[in-house]
Amino acid sequence: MSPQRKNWYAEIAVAILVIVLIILSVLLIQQYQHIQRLSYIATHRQSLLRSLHGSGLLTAADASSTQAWMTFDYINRAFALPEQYLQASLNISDSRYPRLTIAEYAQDAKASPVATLMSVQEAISSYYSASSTPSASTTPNQ
Amino acid sequence: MSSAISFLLSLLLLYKYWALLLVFFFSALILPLPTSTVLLATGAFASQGYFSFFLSLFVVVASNVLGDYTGYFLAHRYGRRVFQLLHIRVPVFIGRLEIFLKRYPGPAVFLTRFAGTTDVLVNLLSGFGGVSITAFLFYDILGNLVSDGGLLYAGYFLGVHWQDFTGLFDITDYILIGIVVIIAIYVVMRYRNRAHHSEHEGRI
Repeated sequence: MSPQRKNWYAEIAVAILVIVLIILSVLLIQQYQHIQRLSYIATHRQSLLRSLHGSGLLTAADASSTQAWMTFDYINRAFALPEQYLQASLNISDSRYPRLTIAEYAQDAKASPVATLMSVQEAISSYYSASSTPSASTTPNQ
Repeated sequence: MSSAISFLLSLLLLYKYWALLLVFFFSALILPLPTSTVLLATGAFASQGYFSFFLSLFVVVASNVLGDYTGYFLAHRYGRRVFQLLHIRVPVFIGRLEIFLKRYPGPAVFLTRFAGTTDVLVNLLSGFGGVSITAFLFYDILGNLVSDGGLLYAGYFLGVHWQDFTGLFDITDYILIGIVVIIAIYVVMRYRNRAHHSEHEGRI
């Protein structure tokens, strides 16, 4: 292949890459604008400031951020739940608890992962709502 | 979130620092794993007290450097032998990239730590082309410390919101890879034109 031809191919490759980079840059700007439109920083300012100081313990408001890939051990720690609380609420008899993901538990229990995830989220919310009422016997950080 | 990433994150929560060690060692060696997502997640878990920030940073940087050095060592020790055994001539563009790497090991090694899987190729080329081990390790540790530390801290800062930002970081990663590829093509072209030029002058 002649050097001129090789140069031409390289120039074409660079031109294609530049076009791809322009498209990616547009996508990046769109992502940034999307985050700005949601006024993300303003909405989550308190939560972000909390993370800045490294005390990011989660609360009932964060229950919806729970995902099926998360382990019960992590959820207990992140939401400061007593270790046996979720086990008792969901009647989990698996010996691997709490080193077990929600998805694994749902699969073994032949339940829908989405339904199981929602049960976990509801259990977290009800733990916090119960602990915030005066008659509640437990507090979130117990 | 893809099932592969969910699987990796489950492993991270189950095996913690061992999972970090394996993910970053193999991604530095050869596997194209979504390490920026893993780093953001680890930072977020550290902000909730589930991981130690500094221990995570140490494990990530150490396993990355170990994986990078393994690639460098294998290419340095066996690279040319493999080409000889397979009766393949070393491609000319590799020779040109080697010249560039020998001349500018710092910027090449440091900057590719920020651009996804391109660091694996630079590790192999550095070992193959005989970049000094001291320079390689110095810029490798520095680059990994800044790039991994930056992403880990971003996850730490974003906390529970880290999942909303993975798209932003992924696109940035693709842009950086594209820039590195363009620079590599430019380097190959520049050295070839220079070789043609000196060949032409020699004939005159």
